[in-house]
Amino acid sequence: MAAEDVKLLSFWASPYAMRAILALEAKGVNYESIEENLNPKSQLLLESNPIYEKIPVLLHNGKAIPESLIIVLYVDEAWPEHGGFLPKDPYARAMTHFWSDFIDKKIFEVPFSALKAKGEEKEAALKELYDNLLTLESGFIKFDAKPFFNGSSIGYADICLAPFVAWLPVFVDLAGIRLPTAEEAPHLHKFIGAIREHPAAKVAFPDIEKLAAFSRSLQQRWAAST
Amino acid sequence: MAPELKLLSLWASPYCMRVAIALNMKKVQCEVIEEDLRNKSDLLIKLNPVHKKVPVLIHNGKPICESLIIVEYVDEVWPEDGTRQAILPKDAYCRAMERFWADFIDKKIFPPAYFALRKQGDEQQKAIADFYESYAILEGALAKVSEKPFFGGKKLNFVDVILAPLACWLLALEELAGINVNKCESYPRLCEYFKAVREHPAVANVLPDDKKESEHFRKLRNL
Repeated sequence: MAAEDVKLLSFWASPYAMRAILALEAKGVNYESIEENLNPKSQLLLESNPIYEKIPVLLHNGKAIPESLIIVLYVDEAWPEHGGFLPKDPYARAMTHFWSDFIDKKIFEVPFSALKAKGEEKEAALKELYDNLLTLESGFIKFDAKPFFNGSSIGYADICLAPFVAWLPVFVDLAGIRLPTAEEAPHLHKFIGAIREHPAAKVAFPDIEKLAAFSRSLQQRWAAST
Repeated sequence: MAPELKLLSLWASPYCMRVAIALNMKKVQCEVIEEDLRNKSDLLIKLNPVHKKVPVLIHNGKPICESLIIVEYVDEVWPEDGTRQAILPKDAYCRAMERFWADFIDKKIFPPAYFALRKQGDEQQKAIADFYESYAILEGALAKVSEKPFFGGKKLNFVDVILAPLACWLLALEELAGINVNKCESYPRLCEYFKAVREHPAVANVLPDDKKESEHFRKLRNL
């Protein structure tokens, strides 16, 4: 079989890019990571993702796949031999999609809103995140997560959530994020502990000091532009 | 034994129409339960406690929520055989591209259309501008499909199931937001698309009357 050409247009701090890296690492795919500067955006990025001009973009034998969750599903389907990210039963698959969608819409973006916001708006974001994390705990319970939604190996919903954990110390320090306690959300806390130890996360998650410095400079830029 | 299938629905909701279209394509019967969203039923709140929204498909007592997820579920439970077609293709790259455009339509076409119909002033103007920008991108995408008239060529695919319900909003968009996309010179493929999709057997009995939909939004504005 001819060698596969797999490239990932990426950015080290992007939680979306981290999802793609986690998927590729979990499947043991050989890939080349191309760090995008984003200012200016490379010709390759603009050609590969003309609609959104954003990373991550997976390039597989020249074909471009953008959007982090679509990339994760593609990686699962293009390399089926290394364990599935989704269960086989259609109902369990639908539930996995449901919780991934919930994570993406109700958890992933909220801390960044809290980082940008001030006063009442910030408090509202913090409360929303807290409530949504409690709801997520109910999802972990429904799946009987051990400790991942996908059992002992990471799957679609786990990959969707994991970068939140990479950024968590920054969210706590700079945005004042409050997590439910280990008593209130034991599965969430087990997930956080387990994902940090996962070999794929050791590759995907950036150095926390570097991430903290990056976030501080982002916050300064946002403050300056308002 | 026929499966027990119910759909918690709202006649005016394009998200519910997507599910009905998918079930029609699979030739599966379903009991439709109309919800009053100002007075949500105990059943809706019990089966979709997280979002409390329609559509909810109930299959043998188990609820599935979120229209795109329901459509993929329906496609998996009733796969292609001699009597029914597949909605998503088998090839991983083609699946990714259909999911990409379905996601684009779900995020960049329907929400601005909805806000254009519901809002006034600056908020409405922004929604209208966003809608036109996305619609032009969609026309470009459809123009790349060599077989006409659908995103799936002669057949409906996943993208079509997600997009088709927009047909019943076109009159409302014109009357309430001044959005006129029936100019076939500007959007030749999409013009042809919406004429054809209304007539498709899986879609025709799902779409409500355009005027009824427009009146529905007019009432919501006056509340």
